[in-house]
Amino acid sequence: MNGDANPQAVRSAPSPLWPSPLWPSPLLPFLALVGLTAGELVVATTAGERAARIAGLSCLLLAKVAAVLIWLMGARNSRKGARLVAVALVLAVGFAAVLMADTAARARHG
Amino acid sequence: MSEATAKPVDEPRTLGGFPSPPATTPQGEAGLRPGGGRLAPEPVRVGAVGMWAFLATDAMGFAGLFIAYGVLRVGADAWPEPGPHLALRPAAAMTFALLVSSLTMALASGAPSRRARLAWLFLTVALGSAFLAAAGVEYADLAAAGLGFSSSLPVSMFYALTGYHALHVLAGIVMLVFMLGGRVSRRTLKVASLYWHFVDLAWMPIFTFVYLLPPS
Repeated sequence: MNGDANPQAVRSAPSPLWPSPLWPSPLLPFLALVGLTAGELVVATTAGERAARIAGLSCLLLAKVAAVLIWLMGARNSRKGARLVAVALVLAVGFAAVLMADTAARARHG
Repeated sequence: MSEATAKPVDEPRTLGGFPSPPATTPQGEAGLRPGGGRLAPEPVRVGAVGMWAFLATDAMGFAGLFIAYGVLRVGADAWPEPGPHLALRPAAAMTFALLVSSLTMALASGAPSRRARLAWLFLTVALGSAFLAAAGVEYADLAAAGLGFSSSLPVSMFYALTGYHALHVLAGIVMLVFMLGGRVSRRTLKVASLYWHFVDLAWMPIFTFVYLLPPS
């Protein structure tokens, strides 16, 4: 059997609404994002060492970005697209890190 | 029989001078499933990959602004606290509005009926508009305090970052309003939801860098 197959057999590929049965609805990632944002607000308003607060905020930000990319945008399902965005973001973050280190070094050494 | 009267030979159909491509799908040759049934082409994959490619280039635009912000902030002798003019509570409310709009957009793209889809889309548009309105109020407060685009470096960066993002929100709202007016398939909506989630994604570092990071 080849191209003369029964037309009734012609059908679209299954298109799951959500990438994983572990996350049956968008409500769970939404709640996770709200929780992470609340955590950010707590870290930002709590008195503490500046470096620790910045590190905490950075971790929470990365977790939020990952949550949106994986659970809401379905990056696990569209690997090509996810790779494109990942390469763009990694290049940009790397470039930013180099530029900021350079600026900090120049500021320190006059 | 002369050449002029020869019966024309059946040529393969061409498209713009090029041979037509075989009917293939991402799943296999000639659109065949391993079991023998044929698969219809999947327009959502093409649309989704195109949208991802667009978002990757758009992410570069945001990344450029974030790099500029980071370099300027690290190099500055002092960076002002956002407190007096950029209050945390309204910014947190704006963040919450965008998060809820991402939820409603996801619910719209998975809604079982057209009516439910339109209702969720309408909510998404309303939340996006509320976000823009809050941003407008913030700009008005800054302008009333005499802080224009060229007042100082931190204020300029604030306007550039949030203004660029607000333009994206506006573009998303226009897109969704067009979708509210016409018949849109669930697959198209799924591709459109990628853009809306990206707008939410882009706001996250803005919220952290501008409103939450402790001043130096």
